[in-house]
Amino acid sequence: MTRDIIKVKNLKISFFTHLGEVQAVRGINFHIKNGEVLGIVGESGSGKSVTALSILKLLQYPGVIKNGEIVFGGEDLVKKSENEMNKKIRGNKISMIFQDPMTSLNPVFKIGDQITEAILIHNKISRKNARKKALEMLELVSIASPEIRVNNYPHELSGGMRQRVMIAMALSCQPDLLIADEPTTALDVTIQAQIILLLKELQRKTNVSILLITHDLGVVADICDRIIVMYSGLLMEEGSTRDIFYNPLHPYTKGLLKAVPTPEISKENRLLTIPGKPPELLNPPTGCPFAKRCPYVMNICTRQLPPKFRESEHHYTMCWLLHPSCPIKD
Amino acid sequence: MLNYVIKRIISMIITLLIIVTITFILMHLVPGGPFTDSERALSPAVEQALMEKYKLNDPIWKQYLEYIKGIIRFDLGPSYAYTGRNVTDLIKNGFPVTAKLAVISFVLILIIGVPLGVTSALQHNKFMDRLIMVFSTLGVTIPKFVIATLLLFLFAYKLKWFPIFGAESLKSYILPAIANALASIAYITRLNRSSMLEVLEQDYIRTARAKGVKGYKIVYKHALKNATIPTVTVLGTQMVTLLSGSFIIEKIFALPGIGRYFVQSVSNRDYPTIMGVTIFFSFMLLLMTLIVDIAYGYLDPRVRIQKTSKGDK
Ligand SMILES: Nc1ncnc2c1ncn2[C@@H]1O[C@H](COP(=O)(O)OP(=O)(O)O)[C@@H](O)[C@H]1O
Ligand SMILES: [Mg+2]
Repeated sequence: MTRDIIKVKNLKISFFTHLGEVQAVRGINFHIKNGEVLGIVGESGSGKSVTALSILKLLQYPGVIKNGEIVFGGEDLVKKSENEMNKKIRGNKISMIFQDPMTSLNPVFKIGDQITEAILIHNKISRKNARKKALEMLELVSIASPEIRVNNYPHELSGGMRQRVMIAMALSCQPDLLIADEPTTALDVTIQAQIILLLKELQRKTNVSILLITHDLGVVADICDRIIVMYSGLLMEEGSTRDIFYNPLHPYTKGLLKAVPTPEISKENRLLTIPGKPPELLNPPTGCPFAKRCPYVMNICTRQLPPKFRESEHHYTMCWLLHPSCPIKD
Repeated sequence: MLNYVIKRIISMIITLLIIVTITFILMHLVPGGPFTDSERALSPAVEQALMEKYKLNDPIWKQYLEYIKGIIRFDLGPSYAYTGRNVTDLIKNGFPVTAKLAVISFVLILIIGVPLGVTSALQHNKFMDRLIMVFSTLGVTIPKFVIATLLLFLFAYKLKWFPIFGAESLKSYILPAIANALASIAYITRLNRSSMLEVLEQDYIRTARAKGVKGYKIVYKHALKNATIPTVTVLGTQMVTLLSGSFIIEKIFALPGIGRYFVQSVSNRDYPTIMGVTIFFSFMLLLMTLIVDIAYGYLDPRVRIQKTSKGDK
């Protein structure tokens, strides 16, 4: 068995707004193994980005980690100081890339300098060597004529190229974990596939663990080993990519799968989404948050939050349908 | 870049020519000649002689051509009020004073306005921010002559820290520069605060944080350069405010600058001086705008590219 690179235990994140406490994440548990690619899937607003940001402790006021542990390298990141996070973790052991490559790079600095900066923060090497390393990184992410591109400003590159630059920068200090928050959402479909392919290749080359966040199950199928499904700040289902695609248990997961565009389905049907809206996070319902939208809703669903049911060794789901005495069977 | 600068200089010359023409026409449209002053009541013979001396009997187009020719030789014609003196001399005389006032005011704007704005943004909604905002609101709204008079009364007359008039030492410039720059400082403070707040929300700041860049370095390296871009774009208009402000300020503090000559020349109907000073100020402003635009290109690579080449691929 390979060891866990990171273990998130009972993580709760809230935003203390003037309207009250917004419970964005309400106690989730997951782990990522060494060299594994874990996907987090869920509709927009389920708490995926907030979870990712909290790992690097980049939540902005008024967001706080209310509870839980994030165990990484034998230490709890939640307890680490800002200074320690900057020195040892951010951009070094754990790095992150974001949804919009058009706005994620600083417009007034050359991309070479932006990569070099990351390298110089975490390595005691000369500027010259750092630049050499930056060039290598650009080459690694398959950017053509890197020796010209290092001197380009972000606006001189296309969206896909900028995301490659972000990846190069993120991997420049050989992190153990790469967090990719919807890295392809802002890109054209063809470019999306290229970026996913690149991540897959780089994962194989460097054995970096990846936490890949997306709202589109279609994106994760190719690259993820395991998938967790998030909804309303809760972890609804967890399993291997096979489990999630071929044996989805939670009605929410099934709904998400129906929304995946496939070549056979015509254009009108492909935007099929689950009817209804996620619940208010200011006052989350006591029962299952999906009950209101669930086609199989039972009495107990609105009254009590379901526990985690185990289907097989790595396949879990939070749904009353799995209770041994549940009347509905399919 | 060179191409761009040459283009800008050509358009500057054209603009200047238009300004000269309009000023010239306006000066000749004003009713009453320079010597038809009821108080001075010159005899017709003397007036005729003066008109002859300053070539005012020539046809307008000839006067215009002569004037343009003069400008090319940096000769703005004789002053009517200061007999025996040239407008160019007057400007040369007053310019060091006006320039010193403008430069000091300008430096004050940058070294006070930018840091205050940044501080305010970093202390967003805290006490310091509120305090700075109260003062900058006052600064923007109080007219220059009120501030000038207040400063003069308080620091020169009552406390005697500064001289009341004259331009003997650098010290004499401090109060005038503050009075002249205060509104601009306040404006730049507010502008920097809001642009800094906006920049700190940007995705690339989050990227920098995710890289492990330290807090203070995020501010002065990643945010500041982006946040000062709007400031640079308004520096040109702030120059206008400073230069036109220097007219009143020089008058109130009795500084022997160009502005003072200008105010006097208006009441004296000294047309060549009015025209000359107007043209000179226009030239200075156009030059400033050009410098500001070049600086802007330096700060913001997106602009630089548009200016240097058509294709960037
Ligand atoms: N700055 C904020 N203030 C208040 N609530 C927030 C803020 N940011 C996020 N949230 C809450 O957290 C929830 C999860 O957000 P997020 O993690 O961005 O969702 P996603 O799964 O789409 O990435 C949102 O639905 C919202 O209610
Ligand atoms: Mg998100």
